[in-house]
Amino acid sequence: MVRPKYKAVVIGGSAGSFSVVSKLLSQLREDFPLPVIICLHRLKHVRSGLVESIRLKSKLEVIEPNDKEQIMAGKVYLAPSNYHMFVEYDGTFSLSTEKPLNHSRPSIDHTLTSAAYVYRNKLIGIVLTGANKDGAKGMKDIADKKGLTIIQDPKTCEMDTMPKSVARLIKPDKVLSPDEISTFLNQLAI
Amino acid sequence: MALGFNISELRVLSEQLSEKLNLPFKQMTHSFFKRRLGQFIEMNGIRKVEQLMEQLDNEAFADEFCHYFSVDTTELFRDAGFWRHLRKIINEQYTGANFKVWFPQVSSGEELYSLLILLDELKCIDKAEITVNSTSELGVERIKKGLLGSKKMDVNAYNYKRFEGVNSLEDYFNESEEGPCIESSLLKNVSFGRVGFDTVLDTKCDFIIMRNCMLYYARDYHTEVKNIIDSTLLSGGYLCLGVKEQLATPFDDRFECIDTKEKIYKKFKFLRD
Repeated sequence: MVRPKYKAVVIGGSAGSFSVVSKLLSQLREDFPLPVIICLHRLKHVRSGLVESIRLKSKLEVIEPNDKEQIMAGKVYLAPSNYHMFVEYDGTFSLSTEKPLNHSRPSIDHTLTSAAYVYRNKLIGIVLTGANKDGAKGMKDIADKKGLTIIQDPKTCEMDTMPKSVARLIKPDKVLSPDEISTFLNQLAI
Repeated sequence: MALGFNISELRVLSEQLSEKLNLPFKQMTHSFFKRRLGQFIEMNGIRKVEQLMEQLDNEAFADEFCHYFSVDTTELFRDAGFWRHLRKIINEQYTGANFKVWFPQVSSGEELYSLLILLDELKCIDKAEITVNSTSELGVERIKKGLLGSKKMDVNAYNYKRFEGVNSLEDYFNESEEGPCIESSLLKNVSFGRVGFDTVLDTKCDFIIMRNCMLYYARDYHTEVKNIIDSTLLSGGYLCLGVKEQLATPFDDRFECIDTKEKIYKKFKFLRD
């Protein structure tokens, strides 16, 4: 395996994204070499269930991190319900109960923007299906730092508002179907 | 933000602010300090660091600045499971006894008000001596008035229902010009102080409730604060953290986690106070 060009993958999604993420994680190689940081819009009062469901099909370990948890390669991190999740320069997560952003806590923008500042051009940002514009500003921050930006092909989305909001702010590097996203990510691991 | 900072500039500024305002800005997580500073600077139309430092000489402005760095967005009975478990502990172990509760840092009153309602329903509010610390006068004043940080009463009511409270949440709040306001008689056994996070109380407590307050501080500072917490909590007392916080080493040999989901820790009873 060659040394990967990237240091992390960060994924945001909302309406319809659970099945896409589930499938994506079932298709990622067991030796996938990067941390996968996921922020999905979720019910604030339902603390359990989502991570357990995602774990069912994933070949990688899926964790809902605690505050200050170290980010490790080859693990999947899911933003906990009712907390924002940020990436810190010391390679840890910090969580927050600050007010919702884009009506969301966790907010995709917060996770993506903090990851953009830490990983800069070594970050892959992916925005999946969703019904609001959360994530668009974060993807712009990733693009501004020369990271790689991917949106789910709106034709394959249950709700295409989220990827289209990204495309209104920046020209994404790739527009891919869910299967193409997993193929692309797996190629990084070859 | 109108002003751009690189990492080292932010570090220097956080050190200057710590010294000037006697609050642990330099121990804050990088993302939090940068985000809140940026938002405050933008809201106040500040264009230069010198301008910020000059304005901070004004006491009221400095207090507002400090207040902005304490997160006041929460809900009544956030994590209802935690409040149910706390109710069970108090009901089973403290009935008829006097006990002390300390909130080392709050910036809005929701956690305090939730406790007051819980104690009122257990009919033991007169047995509790409660101390509340906040890092700003603004925070103290708002809580003393009984104001809610979040006016989303539907969320609060939903949480209260999940807490399985015996009354209606509306019974505890009056309408005021500034929004819903908790019944003032509930606050009679509460004392307030504007002090930093790491101030040691001159008395020992049965409960320390500091859920989600440490999220905004770097790891090294956690150990420092938790040493103070440890020295302030009575043996056999309870420490309540946020559901995604952990009490890691070097405290494992002094506390046991009695609720891994709601992050309630009990200090071993046989330790020397």
